[in-house]
Amino acid sequence: MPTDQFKTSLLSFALLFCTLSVSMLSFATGDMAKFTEADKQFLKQFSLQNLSPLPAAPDNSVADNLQAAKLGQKLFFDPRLSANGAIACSTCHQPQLYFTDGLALSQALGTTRRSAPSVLGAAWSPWLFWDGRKDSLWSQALGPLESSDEHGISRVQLVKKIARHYPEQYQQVFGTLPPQHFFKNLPASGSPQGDASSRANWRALSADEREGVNRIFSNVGKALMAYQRRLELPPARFDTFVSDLFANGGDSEVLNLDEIAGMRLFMGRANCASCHNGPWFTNHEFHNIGAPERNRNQVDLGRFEGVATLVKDEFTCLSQWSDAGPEDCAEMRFLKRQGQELVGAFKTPTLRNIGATAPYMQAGQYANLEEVLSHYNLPKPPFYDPKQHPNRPHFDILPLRLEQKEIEQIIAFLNTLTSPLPLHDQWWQQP
Amino acid sequence: MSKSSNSDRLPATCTHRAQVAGFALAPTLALLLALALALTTIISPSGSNAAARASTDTEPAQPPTAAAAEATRILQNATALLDTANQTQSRSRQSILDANKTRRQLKKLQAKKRRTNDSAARQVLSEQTTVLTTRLKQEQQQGAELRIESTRLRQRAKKLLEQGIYQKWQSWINSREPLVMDESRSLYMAHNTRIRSVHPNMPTLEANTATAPADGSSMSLQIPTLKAQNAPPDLNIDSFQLSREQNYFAHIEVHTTTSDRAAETVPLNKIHQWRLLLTDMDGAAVSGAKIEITGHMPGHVHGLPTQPVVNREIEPGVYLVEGVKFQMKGWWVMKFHITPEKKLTAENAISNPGSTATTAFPYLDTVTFNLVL
Repeated sequence: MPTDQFKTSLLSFALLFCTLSVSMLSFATGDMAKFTEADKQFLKQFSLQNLSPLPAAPDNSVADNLQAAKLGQKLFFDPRLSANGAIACSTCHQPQLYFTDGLALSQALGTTRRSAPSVLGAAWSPWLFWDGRKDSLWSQALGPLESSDEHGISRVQLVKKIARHYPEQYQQVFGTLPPQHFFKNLPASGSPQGDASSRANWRALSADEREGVNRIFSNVGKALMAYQRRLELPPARFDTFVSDLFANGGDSEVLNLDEIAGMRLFMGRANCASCHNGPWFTNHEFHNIGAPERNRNQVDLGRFEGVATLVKDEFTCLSQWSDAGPEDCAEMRFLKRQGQELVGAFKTPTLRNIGATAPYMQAGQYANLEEVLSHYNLPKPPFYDPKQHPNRPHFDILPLRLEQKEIEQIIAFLNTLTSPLPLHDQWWQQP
Repeated sequence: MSKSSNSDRLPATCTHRAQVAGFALAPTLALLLALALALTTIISPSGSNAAARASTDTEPAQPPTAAAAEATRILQNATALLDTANQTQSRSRQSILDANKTRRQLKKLQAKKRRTNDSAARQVLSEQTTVLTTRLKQEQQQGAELRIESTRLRQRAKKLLEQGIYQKWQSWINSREPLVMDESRSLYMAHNTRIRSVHPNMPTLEANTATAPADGSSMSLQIPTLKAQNAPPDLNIDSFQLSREQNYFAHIEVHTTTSDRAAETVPLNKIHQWRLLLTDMDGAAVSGAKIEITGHMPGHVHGLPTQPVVNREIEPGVYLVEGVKFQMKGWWVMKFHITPEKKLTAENAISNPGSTATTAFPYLDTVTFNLVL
């Protein structure tokens, strides 16, 4: 009958339409794991195997000195370099947690304002800390030592400890230490920062004494930097997958279909790779994604504050403690000092080992990746208080409006970025 | 103009049209003449150009008079052509203004017609409406045509200026090509910062009309989030540009000390230097100008990652631009705000040095370069 015929053709048309829509909307199972040459080249740029050599560090002449790195490693794990003798760099940057501490806000002498980021990959970043208030890893290392919430020792105390505990190692790398009486004449504590007595002591020092202290102090940072430049990550499953794409003619069983689907979303429609790109999955830049303020009465201005602190910093690439000439300090010389996009912006963090380094965001606002993805999926614009913000903060993301399944796939992909812990690696161990 | 005087002009439409035709003819002739002049100057110099280059090798400071004279001639033609372009543009504007006026008259006339019951009067009004409608069309068409014409003339003049400036400044111009991104570096960083929250409301989903890359690949950093992030296909990305107020002609290129990289190749995510060549409309160096730089990515609502500065003039008219950096591929706009030397000595030179505004001093003119990196 014509009606039946019509029904049949309608049904087959509907079926055809469904098949077409499905194949257009998502990849058929077989195509999901097929990669074009362009895809492969694109993915290669995210692989650790494609990591560029360590950036040159003209401001630190011992950056690649092995003895300096060994000294730095000792200092990194040494709790004597703290006010209570119990806090080392490794307290908040623990190797077994990929050099994080697993806390929203770090606990040392006090509670820090922001979450401890991993030091892995830090050597590639032109700016350090969440707000980029330091322009080198050696200068960065000096901050926590003097911070009252962290190590809590002044630079005068620090240099005395170096003279007492590390005289040989120090002199091997940096040359002769000042004579004993130099250290004997120094006050108990002293720093241009810190409490009133410490500041008064600092002012009372002679110019030569201040210079002598600052020289050793900055060298401690340079040794710590040399150490952190030695830290390497073994390939994660994602990296192995990318190598396989080239080695086995595009076949790899290393990632499952959900992880591959998540990777495609990450690199494409979900636009994660816009900022999280390169082998460290970061562009080392500053963005405001509208993560909630931890304390609305004291908003975090992020990069805006960072730039203001940076221009006043005593230990930049342009300072007398840097080993570089001004021509090597282009990032500082042409620093962007103003711009609405600086307000409330934070440095894009690396996504390496992200599945193993919860909680997330600059103050650990999100406990797990589900919360992070749910924010990206339907974000609230940044909190704005005209009394506290110099201008309305930028808002650098748009809602993704992904489905639950797709969010799960992205999380599955993120978990493929976790490298096995190389605890047998000498640089990952306490010396 | 009052309503009555407008009506008085109605019967004169035919004359008006004749005048329009006459006006249109005159610049076309002028244009042809200018073009002919321009073409002769472009076609002829190939031989003397080589000669000029040969002799510059021996005497770089003093280019031969023949080449200099030729450059001057080209530049004169260029400025003449530019004048014609400007005149054509103002006539285009006038036509559009006239058309707007005619449209208003037409509306009034139509309203009047609707209110009139007298058939004879309606007939008259109908005729007037027809005449006005024809005139409106003519004026609109003329405005549009003149605008296209003036654009074409200006582009032509700019090409001539480029030719003349090149003749005069060859030793400082290594590339006449638009700037492009260096593709050799495999590691690239980028970001697709999308929108500024000028309003706490969420942007609508319609705003998020991403266009997939032409090659159909699903994984790419080249997926723009918003349509406005794509450079329009007819965008002028020349490395030679005329300033907004037509006071200056400028050329940019990458400042290379070695010959390993082409002067039009911009490195990605690396601080580098440019040279800005700044001349007046006669091709003479503009020296001692204060130059401030701003830049942004259209559709991304973010500026440059660094603050480039001009602190040094390599030689009169050739400025060294330091601290240039682009952290992503795509459409960039670079603006050079120029305050000439004499303006700087005035008391308003730097009105407010502590100002956080983008431009801290009043500038006289701006040269804008669009780059598609």
